[in-house]
Amino acid sequence: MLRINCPFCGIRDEAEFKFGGDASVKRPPADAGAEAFYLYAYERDNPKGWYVEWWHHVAGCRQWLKVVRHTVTHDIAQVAKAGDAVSVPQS
Amino acid sequence: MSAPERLSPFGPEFTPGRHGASGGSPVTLAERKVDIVQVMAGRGGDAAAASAVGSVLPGPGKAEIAGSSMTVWIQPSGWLVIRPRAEEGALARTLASAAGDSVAVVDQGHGRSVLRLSGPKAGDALAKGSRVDLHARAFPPGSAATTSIDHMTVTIVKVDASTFDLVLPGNFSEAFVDWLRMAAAEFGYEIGRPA
Ligand SMILES: [Zn+2]
Repeated sequence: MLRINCPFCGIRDEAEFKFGGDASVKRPPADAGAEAFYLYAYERDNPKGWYVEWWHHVAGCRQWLKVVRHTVTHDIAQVAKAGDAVSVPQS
Repeated sequence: MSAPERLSPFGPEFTPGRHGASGGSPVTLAERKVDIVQVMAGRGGDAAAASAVGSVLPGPGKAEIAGSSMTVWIQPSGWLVIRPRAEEGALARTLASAAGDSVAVVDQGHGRSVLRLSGPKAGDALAKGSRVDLHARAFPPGSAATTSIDHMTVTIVKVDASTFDLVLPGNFSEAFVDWLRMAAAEFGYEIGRPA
């Protein structure tokens, strides 16, 4: 069970949240071509280490949050509001 | 023409009386007859929302309580305004016209319900299903938290030391009370009259 420190609600259990996938992907410009959109829609890294991901506090404040989580240890380095920048630890 | 008497979302078995363990100090459960309106301010709309509601709009995790009325923070720039029940739809109409276009006002009178849970053991019964720490130090009167209890999304408002108001999704009111009956059985519980 993750404990996610929602910037609005404080520390809450994972069960209140819904996972939303990779938060680092950027939509390509409209004229980027089919290959770029294929990568945008389907291709995801599966890193062993730090990962920036979306979580939706669906049973709380209903806000989308960016969570910097380590995929091996489940440590959470940062939880940010959707529009805020995050910093990813180097190790 | 007046509207027909509203049916209780708590169902036909939620009738006044004493249940569960006898003696001690029973937990009291009662439906609150209230109007519930959701107020959502767009960018820069907080001031218009505050002037329409006519009170300070509480910040995250808080409720502004004045007698039997309250304003509850539910999300950034989003609140529930709860007032004693009056003419159907009147509160939402008044708030919408006072707030103007920068604020979305939605009547939740048929979408949500409010259950008042009171008594010295009210917090103990609720804590059996709450992921939020309800201890007086962590959750004093005036606190509000939306969380999940028995897979149902519930907004918990601490009214005073031994009273909680629970804002429930209307269609889950009966299911929630089924859970609460089990949680309160060891203390005994009394279903009060809607008020
Ligand atoms: Zn939250």
